[in-house]
Amino acid sequence: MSGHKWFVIARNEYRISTSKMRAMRPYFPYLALALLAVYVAFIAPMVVGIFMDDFLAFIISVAAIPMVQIILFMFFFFFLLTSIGDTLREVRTERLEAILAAPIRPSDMLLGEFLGKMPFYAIAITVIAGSFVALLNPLGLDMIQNAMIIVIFIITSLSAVWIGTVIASILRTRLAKAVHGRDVGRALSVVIALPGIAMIYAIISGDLQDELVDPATSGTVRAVLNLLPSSWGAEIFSAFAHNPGNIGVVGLEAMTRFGGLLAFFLAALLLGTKAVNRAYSLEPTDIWNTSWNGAHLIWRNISGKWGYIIRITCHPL
Amino acid sequence: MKIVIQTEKLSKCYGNIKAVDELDLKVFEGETFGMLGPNGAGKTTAIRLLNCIIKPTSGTATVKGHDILREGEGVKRITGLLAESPSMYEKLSAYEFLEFVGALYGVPGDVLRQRADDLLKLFGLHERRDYLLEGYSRGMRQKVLIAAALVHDPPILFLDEPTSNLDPSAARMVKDLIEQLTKRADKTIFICSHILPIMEEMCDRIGIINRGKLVALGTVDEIIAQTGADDLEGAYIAMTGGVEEKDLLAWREQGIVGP
Repeated sequence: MSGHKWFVIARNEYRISTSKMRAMRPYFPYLALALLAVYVAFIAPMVVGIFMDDFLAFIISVAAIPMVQIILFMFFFFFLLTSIGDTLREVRTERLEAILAAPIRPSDMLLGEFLGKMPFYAIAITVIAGSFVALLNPLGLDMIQNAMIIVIFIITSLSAVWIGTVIASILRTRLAKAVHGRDVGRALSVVIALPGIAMIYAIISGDLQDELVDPATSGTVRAVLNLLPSSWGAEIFSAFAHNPGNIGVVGLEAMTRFGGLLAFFLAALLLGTKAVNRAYSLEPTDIWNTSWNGAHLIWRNISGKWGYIIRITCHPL
Repeated sequence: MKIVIQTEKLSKCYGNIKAVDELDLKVFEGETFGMLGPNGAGKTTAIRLLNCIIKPTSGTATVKGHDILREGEGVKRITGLLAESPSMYEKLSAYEFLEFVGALYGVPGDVLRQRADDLLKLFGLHERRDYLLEGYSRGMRQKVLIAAALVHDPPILFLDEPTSNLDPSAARMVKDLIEQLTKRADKTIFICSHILPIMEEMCDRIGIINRGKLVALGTVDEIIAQTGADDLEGAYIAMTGGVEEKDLLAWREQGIVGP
């Protein structure tokens, strides 16, 4: 039994997430699978068919690769933030105390929390990957090409959820010891979403697409995107779109990046389990006493009613 | 008598504050030991140290032969903890919570299901076993938490304020349960509480801790005799300090003009 503590934690996370539908909990996985199958087989092809012509024109354009990179980055960012935000909204030391009193390793706690969240993230991953495959399928992609696209989506999303879970575990432990930790956690979960929202606005307004089409500016955007692991699989998407049914077209560079994505995921898993001993702890931390001391020197010297508001807001940290 | 908990100069410092200061203590098998002390005296820190939730700054302790520094998992396996202000998984039912805690301690499934049912019956919660804990009153939650501390049937129990939030009959039941656990099941129980009559009634020996230091140790009669007080309350105040009657209203005599 001691080898399966992560399963106990994962089952508990799943039960907590499905507490509002306890009556249908035993049937939920089957229902979700059936609905997803219907979505992937029928709904997604029907929906993407509406704007297929525009998409086909886009996928062979010069903006296709960076745009796919951006889309993948958005999914990466979304999964990362959702994972962090979910955890930070409930920052409580007392619950941690109950778990720390039990004979369970921190790595089991982390793995359990990660796997407990996975059923819901798996639904989102299936919907997104299913939509993408439905978009690319009319081009005549073969089974291996489809499978590789799905694998890229899965690895990119799993990396994001894993990194988010690790970051959230460490932040939660640190924040839980602060007087207003729960409030700070909720605020942080909103603040860290702002860059993603800004990028969504840039896409919606068309500014980002203009930047990508313009040869003078697209180079910089592409160089930045190439640094992000989330976009390392994007060139494969584009290569497949240009050469459906021809798996050999994927060049060495694209395959290297795909390998890099896999290596990134494995490294994230390894580093996460190493870092986790810093999370799940009730030991005092000096995060608020050292790095925040400089800021405290500033705000304690602000006078007037605004100074008072700033002081009482920031002091508990 | 066999020693099950032994601390040797156990200390925990938070910066300049000594939460636990060179604690030397022995607790014997089958004993109900009570730790008394004012708020912030170091009781909860001592319990966290002995349950390997935090690490000592210096010194060490053994719990049933397991060193708290080197054999944390071994210590945790043989102890049950009712924490001072535990938060619950409010989106779980009482039964699911007990099943979760029991599984963390490796209780086999069939034993766990039966035990969870039995404990919920004992605490009068069986009819509401499938209700979410968020709908439970504070007293009902306290009962679930005590049941959770017992669900893996540990030989050593740490109970921080076990009767807080309980109505008189439930508090009586918990007191009787603790008595039965030591007498019939040979459990060792380490209790922290502010409620002196409960400690006086339940504990074989008491330790008084103040500012992290153990200032008194012995049976109730021995502690009363040490201070020359009339009762445990008098001894407790003599050991930890109290407020003089003349000082009680001094705060409103500093030139403040009333309405």
